[in-house]
Amino acid sequence: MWTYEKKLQYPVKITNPDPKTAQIIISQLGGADGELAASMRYLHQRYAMPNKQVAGLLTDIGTEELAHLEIIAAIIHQLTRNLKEEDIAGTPFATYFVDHTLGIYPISAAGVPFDMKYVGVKGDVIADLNEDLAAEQKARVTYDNILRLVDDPDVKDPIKFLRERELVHYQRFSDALRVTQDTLNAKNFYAFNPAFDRRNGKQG
Amino acid sequence: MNNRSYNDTWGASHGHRNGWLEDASRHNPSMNRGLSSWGQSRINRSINNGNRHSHSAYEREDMSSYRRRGTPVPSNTRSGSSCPLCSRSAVREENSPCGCGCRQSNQGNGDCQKLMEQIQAVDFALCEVILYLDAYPDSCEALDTYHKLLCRRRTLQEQYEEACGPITATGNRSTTRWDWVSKPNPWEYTAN
Repeated sequence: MWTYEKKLQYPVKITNPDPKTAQIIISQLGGADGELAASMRYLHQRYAMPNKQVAGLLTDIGTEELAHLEIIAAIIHQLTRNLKEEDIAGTPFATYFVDHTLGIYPISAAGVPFDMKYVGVKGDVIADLNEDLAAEQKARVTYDNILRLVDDPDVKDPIKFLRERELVHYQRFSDALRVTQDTLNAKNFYAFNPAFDRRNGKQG
Repeated sequence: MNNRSYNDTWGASHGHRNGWLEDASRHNPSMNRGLSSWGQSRINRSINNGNRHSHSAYEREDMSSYRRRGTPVPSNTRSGSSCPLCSRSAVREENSPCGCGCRQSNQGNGDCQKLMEQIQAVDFALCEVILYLDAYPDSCEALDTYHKLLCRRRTLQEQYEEACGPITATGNRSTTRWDWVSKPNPWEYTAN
């Protein structure tokens, strides 16, 4: 189960509100490669993982992604403080504001609400870990794109932290894939699905 | 926007929270399998801050981070009475709350934001070592680091919860006030 700690994993202190930047960054909240997709992916893949190390890694990284979700929400919350109507009207943020005011709603920058279709849980160790590797790279690219479009150093600071975390997660998933392959038949990794066939009574 | 150099976009922090993001090319040979170099330096800093002394290689790093942040350099950092290898004080404190003998940090001066920053730093180092241990559970070095960090974390959490308020819902010290909902939430500008 989960415990909540009343702190951010990395501090966010944004002095200058800017709804246009918020409109861009919200993709990391509710977009296809955002933190909500990542946490749902990892936390749901872990149930079918026979290897306890890999299941533990998915639990820990999935929990950390929930913490990152909170950081992104904090960034958007602070970017949309103290706004007047003239700050919003005529900007891309106006279309978000009309439906959600200043509420934090998981949606992409293009206005597509979060969808579980972004998340793959295939129930096969190799397929799932490869999906996770790709997901971390896609998240890293999204952060790169955000850094290209944003100027404020207060905003870039936590974004750079989050980008680095994606790279570290990628390394960890590579380790998990290697650990898994070490336990499989070196001549044929796909001889059986360790998440399914072993549970059919073939081995304990 | 097209003429940004690499460093402007992806390089070192522009002056905020300088202690967090290290130069990615810095290489730490002692535990470099899979740990990011700044994760390792963060771990070293947390251990060294807690024990109030540092090995020479890490000392330079610690000093420069204090200078960059403008905070005073702790006066007892260059202790001559500590073991150069295990980074533990030569004097065991019998009343250390976690019993491991590590010297207590005297930075708990009631400044809640500073304490919280230290907790965030230790927790981040812990996060790194936990992910590392998930992949390499047989690493004695990593487990040792994990326990050092945990010890430091418990000390900081006690100090914070005594002076500033609960971090988890089960950490409410007061029997007369429900402090869990009284301080600003972590996503607010005033809480950071």
